[in-house]
Amino acid sequence: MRKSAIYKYLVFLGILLIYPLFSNSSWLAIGTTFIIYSIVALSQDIVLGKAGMFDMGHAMFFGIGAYISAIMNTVFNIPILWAIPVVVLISAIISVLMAMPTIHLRGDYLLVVTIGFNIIFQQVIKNNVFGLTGGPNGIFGIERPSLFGFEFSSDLSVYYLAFFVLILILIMIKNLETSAVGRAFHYLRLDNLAAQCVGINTRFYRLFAFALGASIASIAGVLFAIQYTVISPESFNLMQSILFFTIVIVGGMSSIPGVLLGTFLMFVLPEIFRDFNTYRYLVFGVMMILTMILRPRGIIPKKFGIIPKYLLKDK
Amino acid sequence: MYIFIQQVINGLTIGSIFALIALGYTMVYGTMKFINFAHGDLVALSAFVGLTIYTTVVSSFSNSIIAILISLIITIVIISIIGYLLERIAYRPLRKAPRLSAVVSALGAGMVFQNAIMLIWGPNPHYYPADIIPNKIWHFGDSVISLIQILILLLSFFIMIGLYILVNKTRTGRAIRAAAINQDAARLMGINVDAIIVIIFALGSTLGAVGGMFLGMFYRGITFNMGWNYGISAFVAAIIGGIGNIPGAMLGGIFLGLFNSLIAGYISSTWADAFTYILLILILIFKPTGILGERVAEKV
Amino acid sequence: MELLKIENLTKIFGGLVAVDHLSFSVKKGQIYGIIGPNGAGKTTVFNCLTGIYKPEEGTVIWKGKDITNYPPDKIANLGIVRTFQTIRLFSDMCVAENIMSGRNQISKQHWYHGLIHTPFSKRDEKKNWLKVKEIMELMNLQDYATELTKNLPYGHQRRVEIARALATEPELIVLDEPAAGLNGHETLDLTNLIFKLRDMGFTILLIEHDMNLVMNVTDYITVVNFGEKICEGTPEIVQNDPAVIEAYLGKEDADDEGDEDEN
Repeated sequence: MRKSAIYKYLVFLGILLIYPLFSNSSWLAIGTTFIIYSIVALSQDIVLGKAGMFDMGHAMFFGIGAYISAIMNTVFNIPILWAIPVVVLISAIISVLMAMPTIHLRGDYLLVVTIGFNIIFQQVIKNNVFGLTGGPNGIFGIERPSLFGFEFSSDLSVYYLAFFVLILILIMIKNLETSAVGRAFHYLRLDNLAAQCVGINTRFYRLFAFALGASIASIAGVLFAIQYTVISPESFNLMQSILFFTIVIVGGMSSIPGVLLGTFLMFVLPEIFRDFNTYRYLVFGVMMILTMILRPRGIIPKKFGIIPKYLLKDK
Repeated sequence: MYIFIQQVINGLTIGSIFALIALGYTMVYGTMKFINFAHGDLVALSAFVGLTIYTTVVSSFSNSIIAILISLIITIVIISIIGYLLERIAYRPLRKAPRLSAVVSALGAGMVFQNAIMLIWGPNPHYYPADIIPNKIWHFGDSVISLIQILILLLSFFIMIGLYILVNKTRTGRAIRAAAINQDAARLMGINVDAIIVIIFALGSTLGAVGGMFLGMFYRGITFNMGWNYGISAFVAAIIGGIGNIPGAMLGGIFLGLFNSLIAGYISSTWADAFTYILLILILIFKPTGILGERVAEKV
Repeated sequence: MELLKIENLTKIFGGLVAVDHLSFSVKKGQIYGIIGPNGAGKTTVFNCLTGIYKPEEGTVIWKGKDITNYPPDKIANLGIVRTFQTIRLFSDMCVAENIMSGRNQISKQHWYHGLIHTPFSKRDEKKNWLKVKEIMELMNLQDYATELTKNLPYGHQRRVEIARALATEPELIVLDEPAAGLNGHETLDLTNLIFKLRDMGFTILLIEHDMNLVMNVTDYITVVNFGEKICEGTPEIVQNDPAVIEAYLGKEDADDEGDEDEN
């Protein structure tokens, strides 16, 4: 990674680190949710931005994470952090089962299929299947976790827990970018046939991208359940999926700074203008159109052509 | 048995409204290859505009049917102009951009429409008057069909026949079909593709405006966010029929209306959406381009 | 030794028989040419051979093994790699990244190395990038390493595509009209490159319209017209075959601008 990029990330993380010092409890909550949404948006970006699959139902995996961990915690009294491996495994399996028969569909058809899965998921949780999901009211009384004797009972500690997970996810995505797997995603997005013809098993990588995106979103879902201790279907509906989808396109596909900025613009900005309640989404819609017209590839588009230095040395 | 017939009547009614709205999605997709997510909200806007015009003009006419026709025509004109502006402002600058940029622009435009409705008419539901169409009902067996249903069915039928003739039998229709297959080639053959796209948006908006007013007249209650739900259903209908295919959208709309209504009648209305989408996913797995859609082979 | 053997290959589109019971075989170390007028079904043969189309009839045998109906990626991994008539590069990416795509399946990294780097994966990454560097030097592309391929001139793009194919360490390189769109100078470079590749031990199968190039570089030619083989043999034999002359000159002297007259 180039030095200037590292500095930018350090500044960004530094701001997040000291942010709680300057915020009251409601702004702290917005900060925590911003971090959680950033994680979901980054996972959406793996599927949509990197592997180029039009997934407009990503909030479903966010919801699967939240609901499974909440059920494990409230019904079976399992500490919520222990739910993470289970959640990751289940959402990876569900995503692969969903994707296997549908992944070959052309862009827009895949988009409507993922919308469909999201709506089916909504009905399942709203209809209180097996009496576990709590219907339209959702699930109450999720316990905050503890780790090595430390209780994450305060909102501040939950903020830093989410912050810590965000750092891990960012490192992981940076690793992805400089690995054979991550490049395979770009190749199959840019030209699926050409990628196949140099021997890349594009179907495998598509499924992997789906599973990876779903798993990360589900981890964010666990954090969401921890933060609010109450979850309900609206937090994972189609409108949320569209929000994450839009964040990636507005910010810039497969660009990490773009996705983070997109999350800020699409989630935090409307919170800042809460006082202008009635007009804000009207203006917001206009802004979306303008952004796309002025920056069709997103506000901070992904830059290619960054290769290891030792390839350039003796030039 | 009477449940079946009743649900078929209801399903055909709502299905033909779906079909009218689905045509707007499919025609835009056919030429511009992107999903106009703002179309549903444009339909909602037409329901509101139509109601406002109707309540303004109704006192001037003795017969409410004439008042409806007048409001329908005025609404069509207004919504077509808005549809034209939508294309001009939000989509035309994005013709050469990545396709998802246009999709996000459409989502933004939908948000603008939805919030504009809320600002103008308020967040509470509005109601079409109960006597907008004489409340006449015919019984056969235990099933009933109302005058409004007959009107919706007949009008939709004639509009779709008209559209079919326009697209398949006229010069403009031939240009529309040519532009749908290959815009560049059409342009080289002297077809003004920009004008065709304007016509498509005007036609789509016209059908959407009719669909929006039918929704108001049939269900009576209209809300600022109704466009999204009906829009997504109509869009699903277009996909089921094979998006980009005009008869496909008609067929898909009727099929989806019937399916929804029978599921609600026989199984459960709380699971109706889930069944609809399971059906959609199954259709796409086995027929990846919808019922009437044709497979486009990739040129290597 | 026969490396690739195509037997009775038939591909039908709707009612049109694009390839009609075509057979030929390529020996190791050969530069094998397939020629024929436009629309003769040459590219369709390549598409069947590389798994993009499924043939209606016939078999593709690679080193004694039936690989008919294998998917493209599996065929590429067996050592058959192709270029495209209309260049298909990852146009938003730079030259080095494009060539690196050929290393993707050779890389020993596992899926979890995409999430966590280990000393092993770092070594593997470095090894493959160095191989890319080697190929760029071979192909004279090192000056453009970080240039996005969409900004390169056509001739360079061709070289990148061939470099990408080389990066997969293939045995058979399938070139679909490599000289299409190149100027005279670039075509000459291409001729030298093809010889160089043969000398490095690669076997080459190519479709070409440029008769100069074909007659100069190939060892053996199959002539296809309307999907059928009308002649095969060395360039000398093919050039003097009446059926070939008729196919090219007799009916329609369409697109070769008298190139063959010079031969």
